[in-house]
Amino acid sequence: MQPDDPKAADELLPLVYDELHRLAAHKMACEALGHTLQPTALVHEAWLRLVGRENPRFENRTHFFAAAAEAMRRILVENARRKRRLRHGGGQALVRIEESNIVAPADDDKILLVDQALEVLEAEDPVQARVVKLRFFTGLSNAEAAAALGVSEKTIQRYWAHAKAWLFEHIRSQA
Amino acid sequence: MSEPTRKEVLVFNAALELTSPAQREAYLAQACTGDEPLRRRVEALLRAHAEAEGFFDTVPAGERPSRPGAAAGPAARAGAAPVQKAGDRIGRYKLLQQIGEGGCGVVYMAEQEEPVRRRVALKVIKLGMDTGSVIARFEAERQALALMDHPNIAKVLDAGATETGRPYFVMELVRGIKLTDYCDEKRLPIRERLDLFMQVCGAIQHAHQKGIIHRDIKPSNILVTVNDGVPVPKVIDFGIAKATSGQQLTDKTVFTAFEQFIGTPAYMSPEQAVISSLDVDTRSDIYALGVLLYELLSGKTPFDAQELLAIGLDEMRRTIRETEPARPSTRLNAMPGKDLSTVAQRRGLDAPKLVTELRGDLDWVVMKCLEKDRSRRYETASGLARDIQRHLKDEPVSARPPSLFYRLHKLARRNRRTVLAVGAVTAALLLGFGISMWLHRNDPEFSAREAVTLAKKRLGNDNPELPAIMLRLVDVLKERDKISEAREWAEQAVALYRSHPDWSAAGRITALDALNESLKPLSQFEEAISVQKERLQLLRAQNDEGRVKDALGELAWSLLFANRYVEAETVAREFLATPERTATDEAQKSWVQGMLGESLMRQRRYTEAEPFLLSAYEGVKKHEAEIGADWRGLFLGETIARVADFYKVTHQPQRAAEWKEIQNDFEKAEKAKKSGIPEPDTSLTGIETTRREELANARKRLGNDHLELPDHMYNLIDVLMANRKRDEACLLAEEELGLVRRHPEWPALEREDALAKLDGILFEYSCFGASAPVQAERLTILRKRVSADDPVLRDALLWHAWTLYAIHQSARGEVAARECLGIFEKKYPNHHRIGFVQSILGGCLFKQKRYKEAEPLLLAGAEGVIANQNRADSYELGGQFLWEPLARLAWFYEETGRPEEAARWIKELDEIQKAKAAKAAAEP
Repeated sequence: MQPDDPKAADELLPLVYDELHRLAAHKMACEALGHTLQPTALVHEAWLRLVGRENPRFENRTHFFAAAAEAMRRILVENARRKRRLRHGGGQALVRIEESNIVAPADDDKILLVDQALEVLEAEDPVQARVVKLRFFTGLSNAEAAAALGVSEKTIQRYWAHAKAWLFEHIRSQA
Repeated sequence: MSEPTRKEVLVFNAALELTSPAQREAYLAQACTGDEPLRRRVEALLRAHAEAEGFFDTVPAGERPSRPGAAAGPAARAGAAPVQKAGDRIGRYKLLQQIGEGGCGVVYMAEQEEPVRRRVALKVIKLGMDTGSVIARFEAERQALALMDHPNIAKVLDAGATETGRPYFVMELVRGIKLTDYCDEKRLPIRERLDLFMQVCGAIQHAHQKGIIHRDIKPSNILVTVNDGVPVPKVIDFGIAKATSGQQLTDKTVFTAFEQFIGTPAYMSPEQAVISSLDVDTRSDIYALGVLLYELLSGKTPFDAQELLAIGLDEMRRTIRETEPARPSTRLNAMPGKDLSTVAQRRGLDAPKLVTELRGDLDWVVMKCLEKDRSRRYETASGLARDIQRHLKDEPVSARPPSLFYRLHKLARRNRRTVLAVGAVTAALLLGFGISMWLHRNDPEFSAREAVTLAKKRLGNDNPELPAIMLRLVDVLKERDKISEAREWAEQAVALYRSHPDWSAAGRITALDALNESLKPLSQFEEAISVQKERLQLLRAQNDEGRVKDALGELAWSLLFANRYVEAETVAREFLATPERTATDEAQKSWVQGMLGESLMRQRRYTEAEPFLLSAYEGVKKHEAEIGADWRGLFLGETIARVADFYKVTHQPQRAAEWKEIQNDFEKAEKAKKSGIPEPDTSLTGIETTRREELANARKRLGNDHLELPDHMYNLIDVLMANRKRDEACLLAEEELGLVRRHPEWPALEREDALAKLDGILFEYSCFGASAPVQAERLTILRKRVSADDPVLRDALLWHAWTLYAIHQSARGEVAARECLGIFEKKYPNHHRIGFVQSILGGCLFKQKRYKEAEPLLLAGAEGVIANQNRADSYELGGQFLWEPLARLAWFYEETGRPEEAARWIKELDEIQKAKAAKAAAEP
């Protein structure tokens, strides 16, 4: 895996985060009822838009996808938390909740569990955490994740297999 | 990546590839020689592997079908396969893809190549139509259609026949979704739905003025597209319904008509339901608009489309022609609770709130559109839109059967708003700006008090703005049930007007209204009467006949309460002597007759009293349907009680008993009706109870230290705030924070949430002093969790700087504002909020008397927010984010002895306020 500067990805995060939010909102406004958004499609579109603007800061695809994956994770975790809160409230919302139709990779509780475990994994091994964000939260395939990170598909596969077992083991030990 | 982890990944994956346990065992023994912990870890991971795969659902999201439901599109429906397909050509149009299918045709996206290359929508009409006459009718209307030019109308461009002889129409391509779907999907609240609906009315009005009747208004013919974040409804299919209907009546066409009918029976007007009738006019479109409004508000059509279809053609037509549909609010109440909450949620409301919102004005507006007799509908679409506008402005709607209290109610509310608008800018400028930020915030009571104090000090007692600022406070106090104090301030405002007869009479009437409204709840009828008399005199001087009459009615009522029967008689007679303006005023007239009867009865003039009382009852009873639920209790209930009382007082036991029974029945019925309509307050109380129980149960079930508790607390806090139980909300928020602090092992998010919540409550309390440390703690957490220029951190800093500025900790405010501004400038150089942050920073410097540094920032801030005020993404600038920087700059110039500059910016402020008011007042 090529060494990259995590700071660079951090710098992109706010920009990508806003872009994803905007894109999702825009899509929901234009698409038909019941339409749902795929994280992968959103991230790819954000990439096209931002690069399409010839933004010089996006020379590095790796940085972009790292930022996008983190942003997508946050969006999904926010959604999950909001929904869980609603559920605990007996389903009666006092305030208008802006429901996002982004397809979550799993149910809300699972997302939150994985998110918490991921924080621990990230401290131990940030690169593996990045693979989890791309594979799990963003929904990229092994091949796409490999292209995004500039590594072989095999490498992604190995990390992902290990990370899944690791996260699951961690979640189980916490329960 | 650390070396040990890398090794763990490799060993784990290698072991995974070995299938037999023995092989694995051997491999691990060899690979982990001398590293027992690694071996144990890998073994644990291998044991977890199978379950982990299941847990993570090995189908990645990206490989799922990207559009669930896409495959079940119209083309896939059996028997409906279109003859045309993408790639085919029709005339000069190349079909690109099918985009829709309706009752009478299939719609394609197509490309026109000549004379201009553009994308269009092309609708091919289904078989069963006489192509020749369809096209002939279209040609006949083509001229008129070409005249239509309206942003909410999709133009019909062309018509022709396909090679197989089917008629087709070519229209402007609209990429949008059905109006009703859009509203539900976006969970648009009622107000925004009404805004969109009024735009549709504008489009229909435009067409009507050009002589075009749509004839087929329904949600699927109104598509919403979003331009720069602003939803724009577009009405499609103009001219098509006319061209494809009204054919010679053969068996075939009756069948076709029926088939078309099937698409939209719910939207068919009574006159259209008569198949042989060609007599359709603009008012049929008004009917359909009414159905549309019904559906936007209640989620249902007045008649259920499925039920209509089920009862057969003749019965369906009879229903549409003869059956009176339920009012939208009644319809909602009749729904099962679960459906009702879904409908309400889609409107961002809880169920009782939705019912309350529709009851009254909106019910009446809808029902006026749905009148069977079209002469009783709105004359025009713009008349309908105007009435909705009136409702939004709290003016009486024309659809409403006028009643005294209804009009008085509206009047008081409207005046209150005018008063608020008048006082706002002056108050803001008086206050200085640490306080003015409270103005539009959630402690209006404090700011209103401050405004009065300062206004007295700075303006003196002879300024006509002063009473307006006092009435602001009266308004706030009344809302908080501090009636006695409200009364005191209203009295002061009235006194000011009395000692300045040259001030505006309208202002004085408003002040008297406010005083009257605070006297009545205190049962101070004597005082109320003198106020009402004074008001009456002023209204007479203004020749406002309608309001004079209303005021007479209210005065008679108050006089009866005060046992001043002779005067009550005089006033009631005066009321009855003026002519009724509309037939529906009759109910009100009868009610006043009842009052006259009572005043005579109390004077022991029984023979005179009886006929008035009886005819009052008859009159009110006759117009019962038009009274409306809100006033039935008053009109009918009071009148019945009067008659019953009469027979009791005159010792006619048998009649007294009869009337007592009528009275009991009425009260029972009213009570039953009311019990079906949960009041909003009790419902919030209901939610509060539920959430309390949930929290109590969670505590019992999970103990006092469980990660789930903060969620329950959070929920209860929300509803406590809504119910204005701030003290308790605040205590609970502090408890939540304490709990989360005890558990540093919980996700940092929980703590951050708790802090944000508490901060929000403190802000509503205007406890900025207490807010600041909470914000600081939250910032500490945020800094660990997110990068130094994260938008969440950025916004938290903005909030913090603003708070510090407000509590005069200007030096600390400066630090926060600078950091915030730094993030903006680095990452979001074009963000619309930059101006606001610059202004806060300037304000912090200003308060430190660093005028030289402050001025350019204040100036840049004010100019920045003005430049951005129309940015589509800066909706929040419409409020405080816009006016505060301007006002602060004006204040700066005032304080630094440059009154001309200050005046310039105050003028700017006024203009912005005016422009805003004008925009709000503009007709659709």
